[in-house]
Amino acid sequence: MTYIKIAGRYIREYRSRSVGIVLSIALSVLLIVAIGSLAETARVLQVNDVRQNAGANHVTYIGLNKEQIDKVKQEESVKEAANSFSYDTWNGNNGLNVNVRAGEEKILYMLDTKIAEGRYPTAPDEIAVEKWVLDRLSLPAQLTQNIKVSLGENGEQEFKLVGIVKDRVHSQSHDLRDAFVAFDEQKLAGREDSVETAVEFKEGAGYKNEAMRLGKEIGIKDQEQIVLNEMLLSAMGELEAIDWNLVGVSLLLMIVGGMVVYSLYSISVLKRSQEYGMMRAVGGTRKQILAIILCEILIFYAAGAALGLFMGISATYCFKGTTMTDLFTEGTSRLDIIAISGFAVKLALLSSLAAILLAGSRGAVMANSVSPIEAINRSTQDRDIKLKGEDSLVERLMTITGKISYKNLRRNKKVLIFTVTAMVIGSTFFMTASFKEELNRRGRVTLESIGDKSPWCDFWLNISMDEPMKKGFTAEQLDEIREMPQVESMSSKQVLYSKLILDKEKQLNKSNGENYLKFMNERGFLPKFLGDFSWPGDTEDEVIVRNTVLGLPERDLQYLARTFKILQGEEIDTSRMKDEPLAVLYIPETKANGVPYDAKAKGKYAPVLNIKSGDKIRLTFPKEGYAAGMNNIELLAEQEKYGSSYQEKEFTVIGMVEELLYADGTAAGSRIAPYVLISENMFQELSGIDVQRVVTINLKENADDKDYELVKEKVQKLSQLFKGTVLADYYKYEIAEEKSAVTAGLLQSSIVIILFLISGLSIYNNINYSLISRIREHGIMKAVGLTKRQFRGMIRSEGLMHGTIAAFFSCIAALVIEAGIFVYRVYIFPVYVWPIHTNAKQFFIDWKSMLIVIVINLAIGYLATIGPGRAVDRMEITEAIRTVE
Amino acid sequence: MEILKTEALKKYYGKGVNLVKAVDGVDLSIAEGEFAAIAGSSGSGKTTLLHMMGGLDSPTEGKVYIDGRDIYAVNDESLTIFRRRKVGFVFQSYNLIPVLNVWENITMPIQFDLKRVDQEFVEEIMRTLNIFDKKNALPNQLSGGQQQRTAIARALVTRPSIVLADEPTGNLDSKTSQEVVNLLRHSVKKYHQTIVMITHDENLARMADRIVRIEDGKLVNKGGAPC
Repeated sequence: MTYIKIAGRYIREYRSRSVGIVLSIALSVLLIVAIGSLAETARVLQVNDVRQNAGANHVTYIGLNKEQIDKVKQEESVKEAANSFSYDTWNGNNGLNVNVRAGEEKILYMLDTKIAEGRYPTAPDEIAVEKWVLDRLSLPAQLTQNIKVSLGENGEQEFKLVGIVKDRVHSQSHDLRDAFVAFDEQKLAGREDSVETAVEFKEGAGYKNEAMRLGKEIGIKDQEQIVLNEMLLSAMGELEAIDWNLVGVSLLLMIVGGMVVYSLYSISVLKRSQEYGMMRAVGGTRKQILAIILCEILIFYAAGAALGLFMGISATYCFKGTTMTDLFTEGTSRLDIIAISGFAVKLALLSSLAAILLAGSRGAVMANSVSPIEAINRSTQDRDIKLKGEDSLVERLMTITGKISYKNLRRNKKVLIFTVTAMVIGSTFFMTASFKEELNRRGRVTLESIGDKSPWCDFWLNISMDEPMKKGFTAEQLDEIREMPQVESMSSKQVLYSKLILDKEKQLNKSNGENYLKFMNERGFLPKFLGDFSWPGDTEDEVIVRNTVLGLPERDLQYLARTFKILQGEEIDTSRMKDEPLAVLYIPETKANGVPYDAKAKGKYAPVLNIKSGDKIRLTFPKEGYAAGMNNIELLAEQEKYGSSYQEKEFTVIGMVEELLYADGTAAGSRIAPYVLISENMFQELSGIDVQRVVTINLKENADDKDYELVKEKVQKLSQLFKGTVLADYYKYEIAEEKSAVTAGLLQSSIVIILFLISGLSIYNNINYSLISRIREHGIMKAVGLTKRQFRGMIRSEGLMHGTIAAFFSCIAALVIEAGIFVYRVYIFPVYVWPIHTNAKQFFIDWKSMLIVIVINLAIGYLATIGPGRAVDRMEITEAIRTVE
Repeated sequence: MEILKTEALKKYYGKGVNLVKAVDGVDLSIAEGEFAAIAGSSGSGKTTLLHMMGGLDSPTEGKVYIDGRDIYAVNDESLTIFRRRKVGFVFQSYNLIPVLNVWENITMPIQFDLKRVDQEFVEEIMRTLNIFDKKNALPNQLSGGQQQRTAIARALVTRPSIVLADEPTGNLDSKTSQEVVNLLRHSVKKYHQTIVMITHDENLARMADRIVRIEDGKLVNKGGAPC
């Protein structure tokens, strides 16, 4: 009790330092809890998103019979189970297909949705549909209406709409259409062994193992009948994994905050070393002094941690409802829920405890290392000064006041190192974040300077690869939208899935090329039903490789020329492409292992094909493949069957484009396969096709929601012309992106502000102590003739020296890190993935952030001297001279 | 010729029953070239008197004239500059600046004045005080006697009108104390200085030209030649 009382008195006596220590702990805890919780929230939302996307079930058992279904339901580890089966396909009047699923009501839960209006179907002739699906089918969302449904296998049937299912955003954005009917015996007849049971296990179960165990228990022999929800399990695994980014930030804060606590507390202990000496002189043991110190730091810790937790949780809740880009994962989430991260709370409490224990132990060592006699005599710290008596060249150039400031900095090296380190951490974090932002901004500005707005379109239409190549939007159809007053620009591309005949020896780029073909054939991103990626040619020297041909209109040819000029510094006359068999090639780049975008692989990126400007390429395309009704998938997959009916055309390559600004969005038009860009004229001459398959639309800058709705209506109609056409709507997404960038910016700024605040506190405290501890010296100088003005000038120059050194090291540290970031982004792992581009090929110095850091450092250094300067100024000279430490 | 004069000088602390009269109406005059000692017991007010005489502490009442100038009639800035040029101080605890070497400590008042240091004169003082070989040493590398000699050199370097020494031997052994006071005395003669020294050591006081005694803040003996 006595220890607590003494500790409490010390806390009150050194009030401003106590406040400083509590505040440092609180700010560190606040930031760790807030960042950790926001990251946790983002991850929870990602899991929720995956749930929407892939379902809430951990596993789906396929082809179960009634007995097996019952066994699953009785299992104790099962939280929810829902049975369903695919009943039929509803062929809509406007060419859209809807998958009709017969299922128990819980299937909606598994699909992360619910009945929004009405109820779930129970009778055989009842149906429930999402509102957006009804919109797509041009049906009113009116309950109890009877809908005539044309089913693929069961013919025409009439259903009563009894429920409107809550829209699933993911399904809507991917155009995945479902309708739900009751799970009844009649419909099940003949499909008894094709029931799919989606299972969600209780929390805490090892989901993967549990799924396998249950599968075995209910008698599943074929492993293919057990379909794990890998996406969800993987997302949940991420949730449970240690967030190393957060650990990094915590460590950073622990260092900065810890240093502040350390220096503040050390000063307090130093100031009362005489009292500790007295205590020991009158019989106090080292352990008792340690107990007082321990009580004191634990009180600080309890107060700081409680305050920090409260502030951290409150701050996190302030973000509720906002949209933000996760600082670390670069994913965007709308924070509709807030999850306070237990891990972050534990980490914050532990790291701040570590910091304060460190400070406390240092204090204890200091307190116990002073002998009672030394303490009582208030032995000065002058004996510790280790400086050279002779002046250095720099010192010789200084005035006496400047020299005293400079020597005092050198005398208090520890203070200087602490101060500078604290400031360098905050400043470097700020500068590198600004640099990354500027790097991204420059990349985007460079891209924008090409003038082609289509990469930032509001609507994107892409005809499905299932549709015959001859199908597409006509000029008249597109003009109708192009001429709308709300539309600023429209761009369209012709698409052809073709094949390149390559000379294995000459045109495959050694191991890059060989491994690339191997990778693409084995596990490339092409779906299996499209067949292989490459085939042997007619001779042993030849290899046939898939590729996509884009036909570009005249305006796009001009943009292409500008792309070469701006991004690659090359002058290519693309206007010649209009009437000559000339092509621009895009060749994927890989490292020696042939895997695209493999940052971890060793070696440098290089094109997989060894083709240069001036080389000739042999392009083949099916002679009869354009006829309406020809199955595209079959055409692409069956090389043996259709290979001989392909015709060949030779093109001369006039340039290799490094950045593919637009592409066909289907699996057949994969971006990791080569692209051949030719003119619209040549495309038509080659294929006889004059329709467009990829269309991008940009609204006018000042377009509002009403304009957007008008254009959207027309675009949607256009999308319905061909089955499966993807209609991506980026208008709302762009708005959300902008908002999320603001929130992310706010969060980043908060980290910077808090880091600066803590560092500033450290600088202030250290300079303050440094000056206060030299009151006697200041008194002497004043006694022998130092005027107040000279004194102020002297201590300000000392503060500014701290600031200058901190600014200098901050800039050096930031420059080194920035150079590292630049080299990584530009040379080691150039990011080709849209939309993060690194087109800034030249290193630059972000002067703006550097200037801000210099000003902030100097300002903190300067401001830190004002308070103590005044305190010393106010003190009588005689009083100052009598002061010892 | 009178170099320092105080008129009804008072310094009171506190109020009412807590009123402490540290210095209570002191009238004192010091002639040029004089080596005066102010003697008194602990708490008699001698240090407070010395501080007021040197412009370090402002009086509650009364005046101090140095070279005929009322030092408290000017503002703080002017008083500091006046002190820098006209008064030299020697303190009991040496009060050197620990980060500056001996040379820098000595020349500090001149450098505060942004004036050129008369190297010959400084070196002469240092030789006189036998610290020239310690020119580049830091205070913590010196003995107590050497530190106090450095402080004396600093007090003499601006050729002040008066040197005020506050128990300059308080932290020294008797042999070194004798040495330091001899040096002070020698300096007075050599550099035609006026010195007022505070001491409670009767033996040292006797080395002065005149002893002024103070008790409970009042002068009890303005002194003549020491007995």
